[in-house]
Amino acid sequence: MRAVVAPQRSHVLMRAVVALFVARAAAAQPATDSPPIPGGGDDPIRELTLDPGVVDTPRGLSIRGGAPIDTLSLIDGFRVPSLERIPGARSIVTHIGFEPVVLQTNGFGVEFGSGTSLVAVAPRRGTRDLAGDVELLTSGYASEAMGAVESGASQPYTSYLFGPVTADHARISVRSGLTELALPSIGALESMHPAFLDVHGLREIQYGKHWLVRGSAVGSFDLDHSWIARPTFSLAYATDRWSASIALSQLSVRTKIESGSELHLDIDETTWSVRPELKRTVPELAGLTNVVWQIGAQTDSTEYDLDIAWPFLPREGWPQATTPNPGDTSMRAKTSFWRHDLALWSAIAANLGPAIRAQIGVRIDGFGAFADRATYTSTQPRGSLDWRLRSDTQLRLSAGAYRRPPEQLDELLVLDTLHPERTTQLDITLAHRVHDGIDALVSTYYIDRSRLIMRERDGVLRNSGSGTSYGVEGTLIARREPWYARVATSLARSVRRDNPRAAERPFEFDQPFRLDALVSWKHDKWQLGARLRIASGLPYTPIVGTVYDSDNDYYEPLFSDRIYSERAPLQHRVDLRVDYAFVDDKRATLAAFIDLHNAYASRSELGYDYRFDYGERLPIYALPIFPFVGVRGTI
Amino acid sequence: MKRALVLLVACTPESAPAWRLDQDRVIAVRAEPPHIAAGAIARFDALLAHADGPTTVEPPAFASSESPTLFDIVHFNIDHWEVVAPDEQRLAVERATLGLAIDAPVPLEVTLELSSGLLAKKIVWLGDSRENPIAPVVALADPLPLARDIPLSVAADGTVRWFTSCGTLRDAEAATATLRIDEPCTGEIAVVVRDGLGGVAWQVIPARAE
Repeated sequence: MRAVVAPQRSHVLMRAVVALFVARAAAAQPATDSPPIPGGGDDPIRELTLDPGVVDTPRGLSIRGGAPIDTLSLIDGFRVPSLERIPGARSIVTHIGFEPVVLQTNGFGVEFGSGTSLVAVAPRRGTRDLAGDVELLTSGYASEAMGAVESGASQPYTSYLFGPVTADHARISVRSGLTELALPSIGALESMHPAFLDVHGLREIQYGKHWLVRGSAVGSFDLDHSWIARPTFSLAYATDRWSASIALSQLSVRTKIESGSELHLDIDETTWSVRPELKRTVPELAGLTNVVWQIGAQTDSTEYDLDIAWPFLPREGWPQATTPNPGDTSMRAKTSFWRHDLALWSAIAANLGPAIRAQIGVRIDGFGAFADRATYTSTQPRGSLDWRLRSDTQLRLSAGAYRRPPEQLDELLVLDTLHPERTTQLDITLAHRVHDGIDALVSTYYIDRSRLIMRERDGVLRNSGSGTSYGVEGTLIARREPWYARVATSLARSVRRDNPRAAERPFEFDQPFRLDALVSWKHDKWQLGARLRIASGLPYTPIVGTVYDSDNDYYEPLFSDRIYSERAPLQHRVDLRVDYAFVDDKRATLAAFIDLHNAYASRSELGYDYRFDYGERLPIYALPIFPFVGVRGTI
Repeated sequence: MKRALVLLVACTPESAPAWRLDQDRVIAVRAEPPHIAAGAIARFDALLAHADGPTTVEPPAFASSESPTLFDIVHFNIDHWEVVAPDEQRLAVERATLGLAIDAPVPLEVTLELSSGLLAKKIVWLGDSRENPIAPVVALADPLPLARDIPLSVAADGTVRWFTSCGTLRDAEAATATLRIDEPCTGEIAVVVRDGLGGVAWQVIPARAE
């Protein structure tokens, strides 16, 4: 019998237990040798659009035909409502403050729930003895300054309480939006991109060979009295065969928006989470090898404090006016309540043979557990099979059931009448090394959706919707110094039915075709990149008339009964990026870049806006020749 | 709010501002009176703007209410549409249904179709009495001077909206706006005041600048 987990890997194992997503970053993502991505604005979340399954929309990222709310966003393994400060705009994630983003478009294991795809981030870990990073970024109308300090103690020392410390890593980063300082006179644009302050920090201490203590915090504070903060503390113990961890986390979200004298959203959400996990590794069991069994649980107790007077929020299948009716308070509530969710899961993974590894697990979610509110229990089996067909070819089959509980603001107001949405996913992915330095990845998927929460004609939310999404995605990556090239494409279709008798219609962000080509060249201190994007236009619902609301002096659009029956034309654009390293040695680095969006000023119509009275349709274009300029230094 | 989100990563061409009067649309709808006691009658008229001519004041060609219990009180009477407030007993039932206080006015939303096909909504309040505000009074020089800021001002409790088909307006949603005309023109200036309780009044003034 051969020990599969070598003793020196126990530290890696511990860290994986504490922060599963960080460990997955290496396993689930393509090699992280990709060059800077043109058109991403140096924003790690916007750069995810390089993946063929990700569509950037005004309401956030839509993954494989799912609504943005179907994507589970995690910070340090715990859910946050969104990683985007304003949907469709720059995120709260930075390269300087976070580890590489983990994106899982084809579902995920039983460790997580409440979504069908996953975007996970964690604060960056300090690895250098004492170092600092500084970055300045401006896009012309908005500027940001970022800084980070880190300390990675390479010399062991003795802690008074816990004994010998074998590793101690700390890093804190700060980011501030300087919009108002940069362009105080630009008026409307200024108010759209408010000044903000983000703080990210992580400290990780390893005691001896077995114990790891980790504390992290991510906070994003807008100066208009909205914020999100997620501190997390975890303790892990690991040996070669056993590992156990417990993590505690708190989420605070405050949103405050006012419009006119009547409309307001004042939302406080505080969640306390506890997450224990246990993992057992057995080298051989009943003919199976490298058997890993894990079991875990999570409780989330959330207190909501809502004071709302606002029109119905835009949601899939319910097109809304571009500006809210100042007299429409269809969504009105002033209430406080608690909600408790409980999840239990277990999974086992093993090698069935020299080239086949299987994992199977089940997750049980109790949404609304321990409360006088409605409780729904959902059982979600998930599994995967990894089969190495040849030394250069690997096949992965995965399938699973996923649930998303009602958790959006408008859903919270009628929580007792709604059930979780149901999704079943099937994915087949083939990875093949075509040639030395050339890799190909092909995926095909089918996703069945039922009990979707739809707002019906009478304005009431019901679990009446259903839908399917299916598609084929392909990615080809070629690396040959000094060149790097990547081509990704997808053919997809995503449809919905608002109720069992309704006609099938396109999903709000259905994008049947995408092509994304990236080429980069690096020589000495220069790195040049270009990216071509071609994609089908997104669906929209035509406006067939207007009703003037005289008491509120507001023009209310009348949407066609044929929801999303029209589609914007094909979109195309080219983004360019130039990076130059002034200094790059062991002691310090200094580099600058220009990221030029929409370099040939493409006039592709992204969608449509309307004149104030909807009497004229106005095309929305990507900003022409829109530069991001950044300077980054390390000492 | 959503408009702002879209603009953050994209742009749209300029469109005509809301204060431009020479566009086909409804500027305001008036119920006369806006609050009616049991048995009283309210009639409607609307101020319409036109792309190719001066404003007009027209009665609705059709009126209706989607209220499941009060739709029948919207009538066509000889040559006009009107609302006849129901008796106190029926109003009491409506108040109970809507969860209103015992003496609160009952809102009735009426949809109006105007002669040019434009649609508008107006709420008539049933169960109490209240008149529209007094029409604002604005005096303008004739002709108006060119290339100078011309202050426009009304005294009003509530909201004010200014419109023009001649020149440009600044602060068009304030009680005091500024008109500037750079080229000779002939058109109209309109002001609409709303008292926030359903009452509305307007004045349209011919404007000539040389």
